[in-house]
Amino acid sequence: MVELITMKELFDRLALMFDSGTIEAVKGPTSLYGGLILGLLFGVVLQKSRLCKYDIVSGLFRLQDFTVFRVGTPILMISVLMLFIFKDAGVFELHVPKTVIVPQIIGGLMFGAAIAIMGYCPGTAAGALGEGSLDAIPAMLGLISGAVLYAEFFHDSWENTFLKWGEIGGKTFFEILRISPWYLIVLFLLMLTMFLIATTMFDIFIVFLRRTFNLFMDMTEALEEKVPPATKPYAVSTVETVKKFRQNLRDLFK
Amino acid sequence: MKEPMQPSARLALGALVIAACAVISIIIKSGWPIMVALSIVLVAKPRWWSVLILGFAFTVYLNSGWPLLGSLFFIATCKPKRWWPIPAGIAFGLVEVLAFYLSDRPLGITRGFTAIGSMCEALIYPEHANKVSYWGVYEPVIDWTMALILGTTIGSFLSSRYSGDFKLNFVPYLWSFSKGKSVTKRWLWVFAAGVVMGFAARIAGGCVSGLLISGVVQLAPAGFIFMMSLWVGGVVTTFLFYRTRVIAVRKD
Repeated sequence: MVELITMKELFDRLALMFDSGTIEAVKGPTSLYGGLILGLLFGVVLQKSRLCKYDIVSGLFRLQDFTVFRVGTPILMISVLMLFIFKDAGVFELHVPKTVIVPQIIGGLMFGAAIAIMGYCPGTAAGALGEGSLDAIPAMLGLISGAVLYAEFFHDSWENTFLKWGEIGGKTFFEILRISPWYLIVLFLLMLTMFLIATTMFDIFIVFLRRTFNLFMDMTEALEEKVPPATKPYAVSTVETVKKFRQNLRDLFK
Repeated sequence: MKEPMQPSARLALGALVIAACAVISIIIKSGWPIMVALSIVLVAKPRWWSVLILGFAFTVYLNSGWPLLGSLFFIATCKPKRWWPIPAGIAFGLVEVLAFYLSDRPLGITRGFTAIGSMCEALIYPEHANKVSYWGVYEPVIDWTMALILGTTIGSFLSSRYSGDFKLNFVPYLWSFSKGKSVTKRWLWVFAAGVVMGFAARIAGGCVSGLLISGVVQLAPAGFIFMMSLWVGGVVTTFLFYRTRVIAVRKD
């Protein structure tokens, strides 16, 4: 005999399943399950924003494809806002990375050179392997051997030389300037909004210049495929021209 | 060449594997074999119902509602091959904040690779590995960052399989456009660049996710310095390395 339960009891059981104990269990900086869950979300987001494709990342450095900027700017805006709101509410604390100016400039230059050749950064190499790009395997092996190389031969001899030049420590800008972080956040958000608008408008702007002033003829070979050839209509009304231009833009972005 | 299996035969094979693992898990009175079999069989070619079944199975197995909720969310949002950049960026930002909330540390991946290197050395040559002072910071134990790497791979695999974006390729399209289709050349270059990248990440103290994004969102000078120098280095190297003004036509 099957025992029927009431709707209320069903909901109670459901609420019991979503109890906060499960979150508490995966919390903490050493929990493997927490890392796995975050990794799953991270992988899905990386794959969906197409950041783990060589073509996209290399297109950024070839100054043709600004998908990375268009994805990156909202990341910074959303996380800087929510991070400081939650920090002020006392939910969690910041973990500020240490600033050492000279090694970070040198490391950044080398890192950029490697990204330009490889097309993956460490996080997206793992994502690219999941996506089927098998050239992420030598990338990951190279990352491991690079770290081993540094630890074996260079860390001890360089530790007290240029790795200490320009050391500031784990300080943030607002701690150095001694002002409230919110002034900087508002400034930062304004800058990022303008940057986002600029990068979003870039393609449209190039097409516009090309179609109106015949500029950038050689730079827009890639757009040639997407945009119908620019024929100069002599005797069409303004409404027709605007309609056509909008249609072209719609075709460009599907 | 063998002929490809009929769909019904494939279905029967999957059912047989699941049944066998169910028998095993009844015998040893532990649930993990059937969970592993279910995961592998259902992930091989995901449909919305298979993801739902998987989520339900994990909900029953772990006695927690989160897997079912996650699978519903996955079904609802992950069907398109890509998200528009701005929603994708917002989702990425939420993951970044979630890392701070859930694990109390920023989302950084290079630490995991360094720890894997440390583990390899400790496995091969333990006496020497104890002497290296740098491995005192990066101890050879399996920790959060390796779970993060594994999770990133699995998440990307699931997402790309579900949306049909999964494609095995040895050489990326744009590379073959500008440098030729040779697999060996691409893999050697990638390995060399990987060595440089691992080295640079250790000098600077982090990678794109661990130093750049986490640094910038906490308004630390480190992130801004690293971002600017990375950008300059990348653009200069691109124009020296590819040495071409041709804008490659990208397939979408």
